[in-house]
Amino acid sequence: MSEPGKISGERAMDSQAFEALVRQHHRRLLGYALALVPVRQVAEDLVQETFLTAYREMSRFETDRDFGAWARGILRNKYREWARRQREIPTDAATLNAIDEQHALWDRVEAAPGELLGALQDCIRKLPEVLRQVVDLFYMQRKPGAEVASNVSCDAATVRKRLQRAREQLAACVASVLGRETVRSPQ
Amino acid sequence: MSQDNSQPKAEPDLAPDPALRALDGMLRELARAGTGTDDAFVQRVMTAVRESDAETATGAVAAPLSAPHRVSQAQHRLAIPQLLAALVRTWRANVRPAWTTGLALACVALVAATLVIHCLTATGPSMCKVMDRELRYQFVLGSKLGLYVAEKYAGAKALVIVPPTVFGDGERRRNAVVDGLKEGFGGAITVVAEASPERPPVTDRRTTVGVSTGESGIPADMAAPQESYFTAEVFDRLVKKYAGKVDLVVTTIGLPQDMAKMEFWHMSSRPRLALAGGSVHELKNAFSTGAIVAAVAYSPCARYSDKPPASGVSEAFAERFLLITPENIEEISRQFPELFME
Repeated sequence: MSEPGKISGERAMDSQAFEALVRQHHRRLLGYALALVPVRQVAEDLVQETFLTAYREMSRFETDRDFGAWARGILRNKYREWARRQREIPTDAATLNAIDEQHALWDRVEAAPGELLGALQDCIRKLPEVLRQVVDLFYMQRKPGAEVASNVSCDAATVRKRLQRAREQLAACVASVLGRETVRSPQ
Repeated sequence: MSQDNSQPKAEPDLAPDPALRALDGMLRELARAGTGTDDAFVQRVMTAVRESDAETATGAVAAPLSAPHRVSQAQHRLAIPQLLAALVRTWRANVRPAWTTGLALACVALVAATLVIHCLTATGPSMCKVMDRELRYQFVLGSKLGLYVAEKYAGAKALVIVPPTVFGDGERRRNAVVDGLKEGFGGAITVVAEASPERPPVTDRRTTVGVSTGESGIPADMAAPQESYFTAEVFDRLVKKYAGKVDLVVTTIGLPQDMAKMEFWHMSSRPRLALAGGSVHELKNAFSTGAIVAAVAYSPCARYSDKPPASGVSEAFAERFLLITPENIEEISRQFPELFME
């Protein structure tokens, strides 16, 4: 059996074999894209383009490398192209590196596709009510900060602080749930 | 699995802390489609992959992903030469049974005959008319730039960077921009060489990963994006190869995506650089400092119509393009601020 994330050099990369890779990696790549561009349609387009490029360039893929990391490199370039076309200021290199590092750490601890998302969902349930509420409104219901503030009857600065605290607790919790210490902790 | 197909919605801000941005993205992904496989998205990707396979097999160019159904009739017609190219490439692959030779020849003859009949009989903006018009604009682009450079730097020796060919150097296609440049240069500028970045080696992607099986398949080189083979290093190598022999470089394919890494910018005695193609978005400073002596950009106020270009070069040029020079860069950037990065 091949190592998770690695592609067997013997396997012909027909579309069926490629579908297995798409199934294995699409959620993490979409998460990566959403960390760069928080717009679902754009993130989905970027990830689709990434998979298409990966499929076309598969013959250049070094089989001893991790497919997820390779695809993230392609996605990062797609994102830069997109930002240039949109004349948007791209995310700075330090932040991009931080995102890459975190995903690389998750690559090492996620035993199966979807484990990270499952852990994240469990951790949200464990948050204190006051933090879970803002996470639910902000992320799950996609409400802007001002609207979340109005919903929880406090000011926007308070919501920002609560969100920051929630993210820190979630990061620590995910590390704990995955059972490894390698997940990056917030400063 | 929930797939949000509703209208774009304003998204909450990203996490400000870089260390938590990845988590932020995964939270958004969790909100987007829950914890399991997003079957709808997987199917969407695989449909695109299969369509890409089919398009490659016919040599057609894939439409932009964000606008899969916006390919115009003219664009469909423009795919015919690419179909011919794909047939020729298959012919050259030399991995066919003998009987396919006759079939391929018959197909090529049939397509060629169809094209001729179509060009002679079609009404409206036929492929031939559209091609003629666009080639004329490309010629005008080159011509105007050539005239400007010839007037300003008469006596210069030029290297012209052109796109690599599909079939190899022996079969260089006619390039309307280069033809226009030469027309504009007249006798004032000598073209020392036309050079191209080297395309990556032809690969067959219907093979075992990383290992060519030699089985039949369409070479995938047409799909290789320019940024994959035209890099800062390649550009510098081209310029250095002709160092001392040329004092003007005109690129018809723009600059590499990683242009910031080009040693060219720091060369003590670099040739003058002119752009007959590509983006000028990040190049305002290069004009201001004189590193680029002229460039043609598509005008944000370009007028596109089915009418043929105006007969005069300057009039036709003004319908679509802007000539940007160190002298007018400030005026152009005031008039069209969207052309340049702030």
